Amino acid sequence: MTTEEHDLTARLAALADGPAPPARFDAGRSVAEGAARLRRRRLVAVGAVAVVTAAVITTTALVAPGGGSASTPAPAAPTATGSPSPSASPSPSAAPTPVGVDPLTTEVHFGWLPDWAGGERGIGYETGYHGISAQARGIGEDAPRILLSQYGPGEEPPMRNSVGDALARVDAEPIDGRTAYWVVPGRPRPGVSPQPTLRWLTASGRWAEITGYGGKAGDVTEEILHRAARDVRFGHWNVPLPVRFTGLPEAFKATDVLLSQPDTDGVGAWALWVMFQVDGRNVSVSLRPDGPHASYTSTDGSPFTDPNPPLVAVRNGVEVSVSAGAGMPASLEQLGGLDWMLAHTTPLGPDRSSWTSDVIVP
Amino acid sequence: MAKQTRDEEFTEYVASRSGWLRKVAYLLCGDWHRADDLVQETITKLYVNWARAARMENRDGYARRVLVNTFLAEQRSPWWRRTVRSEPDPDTAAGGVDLDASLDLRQALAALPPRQRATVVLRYYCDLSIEQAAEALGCSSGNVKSQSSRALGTLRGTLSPRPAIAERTP
Repeated sequence: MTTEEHDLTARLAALADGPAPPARFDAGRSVAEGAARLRRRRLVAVGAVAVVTAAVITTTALVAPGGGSASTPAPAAPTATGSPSPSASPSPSAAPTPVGVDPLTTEVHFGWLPDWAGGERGIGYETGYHGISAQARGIGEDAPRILLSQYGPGEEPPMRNSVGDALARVDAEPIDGRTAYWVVPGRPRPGVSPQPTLRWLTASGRWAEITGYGGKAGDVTEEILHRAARDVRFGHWNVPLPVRFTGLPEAFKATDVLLSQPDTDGVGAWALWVMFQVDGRNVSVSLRPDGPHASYTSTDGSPFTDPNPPLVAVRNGVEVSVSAGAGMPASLEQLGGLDWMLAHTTPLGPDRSSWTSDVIVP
Repeated sequence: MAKQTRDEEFTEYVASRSGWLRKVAYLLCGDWHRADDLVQETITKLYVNWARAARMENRDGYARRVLVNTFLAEQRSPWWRRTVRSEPDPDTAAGGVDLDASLDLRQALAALPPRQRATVVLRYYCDLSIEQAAEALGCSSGNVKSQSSRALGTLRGTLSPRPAIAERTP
């Protein structure tokens, strides 16, 4: 760590150790609120059993268009920018027999999007800690974004934000004849700019939500969100990925997957991050197209030093990075550690036509 | 796990860690009241997922991850963006610390985008490695490196150089 970084650490510690008002949180309140959330979750789970059963049956007929082979294209044909094309929609079709598992599935798919989104190549998907979502994103760090997600069966969208502030609803133009509303702060705050968020009831009875931010004025407006919402499709699609994992033990569970298009730095065409949980520890695999990247240096110009450096290799034009951080899972250690993980990771190339939804195969 | 045992274990854990979580939350958001809200929400989520958290070897890491994600979720999907508060927190204005330096750093942190701020806090306050920070943030290590690099570059431009103690003491 450089002198400058040491100084920053000291300053942060001094700031955090400074005088503070008495704490206003307490464990008892969390126990009461947490217990109530658990009760609601159980009720929703019971009520959703019939819906889920039906969905499982339906899912077999709603796989990714063309999913299942190494020649699988992107999850849907490119979404036309400017005007939607019926032929560009992901059309559920009969399922070919899959030979592997796709750890990244989506249940929401954009139709129309504004020009800045750049079509299907500007749409990323995420599943894991934050649920399932799709994100349309422009190029650059402060690029405009539109996020799309769907609430669970029987789940009512919360009317409080994550820190407990009340939200209010303002009626919106119905979507497909169903209820829609804008979410606004219950109590406007000085210095706070509203961010447009639209919720609407879908044909399945579940609520969907679309929101957006970033970019320049006019990139994300209520009109744009409403138009995009009217063209959203719901189903179940496996998202083709640029990698195949072979021979992983069953204990290796892919819990979080993020396909960014473009990458989160707003520089490369795409980036994929897959996190496996193994023995309660995390093993992450990152891939991105090989090529010139920004070099990362410390404040004094020296390279970053990572005490637990990932294992990095370039194959098929893709840079693969495998890491277990500070805690190597015992079962991976026994198999051969990061070398073993890398040997069982096959990048399929930067060309999307070679990506597959048979990602984790026995 | 019986509810009573679960509640006792949870309460004991919160009692031992809430001060630390609160400081991390404060560095993330720059406001003690918002920090309290973040911690309250974080420990509620911890309670809901206590069965999972209790099995984890690195329970503190899990709590930190929940806190950071709660903070970032508030920034990205609570339906509005907050503007930077530049005025000093009235509750902290009477302290005996170097207020100029504290305000300087608070304002510099507040000017960073949320993920860069979280990266700085995780790397330089929590002393996490790049990979550990990547896990906490749910992103790649390359992303942490780039966020760190940008954040440090910005801080270098906005933080005034820290004078030597001899220079600060009359």
